[in-house]
Amino acid sequence: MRVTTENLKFFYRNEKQVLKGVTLEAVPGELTALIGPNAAGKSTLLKCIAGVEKTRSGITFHDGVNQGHRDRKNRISYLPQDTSCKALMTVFEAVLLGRLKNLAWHVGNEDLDMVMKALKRLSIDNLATSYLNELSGGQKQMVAIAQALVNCPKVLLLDEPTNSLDLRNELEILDQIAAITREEGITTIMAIHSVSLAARYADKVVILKDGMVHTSGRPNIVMTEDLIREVYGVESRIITEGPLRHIIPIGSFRK
Amino acid sequence: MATTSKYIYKHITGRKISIILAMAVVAFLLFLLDVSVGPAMLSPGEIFRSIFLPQSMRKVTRFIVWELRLPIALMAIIAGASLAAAGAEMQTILNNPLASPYTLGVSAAAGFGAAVAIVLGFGVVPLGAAIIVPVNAFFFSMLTSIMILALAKKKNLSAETMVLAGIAVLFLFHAGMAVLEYFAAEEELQAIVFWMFGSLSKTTWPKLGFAVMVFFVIVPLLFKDAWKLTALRLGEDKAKSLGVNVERLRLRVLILVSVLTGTVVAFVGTIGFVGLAGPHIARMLVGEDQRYFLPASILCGSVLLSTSSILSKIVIPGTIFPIGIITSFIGVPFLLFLLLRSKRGFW
Repeated sequence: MRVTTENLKFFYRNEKQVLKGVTLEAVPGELTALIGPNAAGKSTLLKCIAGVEKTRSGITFHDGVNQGHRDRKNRISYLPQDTSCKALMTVFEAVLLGRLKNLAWHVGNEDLDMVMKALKRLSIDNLATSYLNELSGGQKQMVAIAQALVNCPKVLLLDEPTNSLDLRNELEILDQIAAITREEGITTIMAIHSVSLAARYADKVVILKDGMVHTSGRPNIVMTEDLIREVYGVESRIITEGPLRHIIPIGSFRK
Repeated sequence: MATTSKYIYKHITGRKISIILAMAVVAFLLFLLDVSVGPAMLSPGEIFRSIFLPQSMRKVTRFIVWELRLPIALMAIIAGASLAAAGAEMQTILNNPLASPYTLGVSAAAGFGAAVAIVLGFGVVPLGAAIIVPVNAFFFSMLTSIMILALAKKKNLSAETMVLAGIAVLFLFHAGMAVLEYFAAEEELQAIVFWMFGSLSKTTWPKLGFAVMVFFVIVPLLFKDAWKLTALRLGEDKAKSLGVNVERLRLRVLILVSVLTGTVVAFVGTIGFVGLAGPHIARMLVGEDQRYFLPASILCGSVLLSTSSILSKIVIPGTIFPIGIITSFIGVPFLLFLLLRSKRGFW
């Protein structure tokens, strides 16, 4: 399902405008990374697309259908930035909640099977009966992703999915997200801080600055040392190694 | 895969159902004990015959069971259940482990409302003298709940700050009560003291009937939102993205728990701790799935208040000790014990 925002504007009550007219397009089977400095509007943009925040102006379209369409919630899965859930529940129960709209008092076999499928997809089915607060940060993030996948979404919105993870977990989770996006033809939009990881995993990057799209396009084309300097105020070196582009920050430009 | 997923789900839920059934049995046994304990001890056989074959019993035994013990024992069950259900949902919708009708000042507000009706004869709705007391209690508890919700909506308000705000409200209403006590006549003063300590001793069948009716109207409405309330524990943003209208859910649940709290406090006064400890104990036993958490909280509340009711009759033989004091004395150590023992963490 194609995701298009056109001149999307948003401001929180009594606060300055966060999104000042964002236009972007994300297509199925591709991972679109939203990058940019703090307070650029990445998380807010994801929340607007997810329907968590109601947009004041500008419309988000999915396959040409208005955002307010009833089916929207069934097709979009959103993973918030803070997944540090303190609820005393098992992994199986937490993932089951991802199917909230289907759940009746008596849980059907289809719902149970979908949970197991999502857990197996991420190879965490061995954790099904573990409690959330017994898990490591990486495992918790995997559970949150399983929860987002349990509905077989058409659109996956991820806000900093590698937040506070170590290097290995970071790579493992992004490998999984990239694989699921391509294999299942999902339209994935991911807000991420690391420009290196965005360059490595994304099919397309959208660089936000001050609530507006600064640049967008294929990472190997748009992500240049000049762009990093302009957007982040940071000197960097870009090293190309086969298909990979490594962005190495050198120092702050603001000194 | 179907078998595996079904097996895992049954494994998780089966344990919870067993715990809830065991708690129901304990609550029932405590209820029987509550009926049997008193200056005239009654055997289980005498209780059963008095209830089901009253003609076979002496008039005095029938009187003790039907007029003195049963209404109080049943009120202990229903009041404990109502306060714990209210506490459970307050903790859930405010995402605050310290929330309860008592700690957030809702009980104190209801008590103040009742005291206004007792001393000044003033009712927020001009109704008969008998009805203005519970109506006032409900109105003031509602007012406080809405104030709490407004505070909770403010950003960066931590759990501790909210409870501090609740304590401020508690002191405000206690100060209001003190003013009313100062001007109150002796009989009115006695009635106010009843509110502040909490007591089951003024339970009558009509009061019990009303409390039961409110409980059975409100609790199914809470169960209706069981999945949404469970999802709320994943965080507000996640719940919203799953299609939960969080604002509406919070308001609806807060109104429902205010009705529950207002009704109970109107009849038994401000009984602390049951609404706080009951849900925590239940959470540790069955987790956060509201389909199990709510009934477990209800049963924990009933067990706590029934136990307190029994102890209030035997601590000083021949007198009934204020039940509010007992609930704190048994609830606090039990909760601390569970907190220290729990391996899975807490909240």
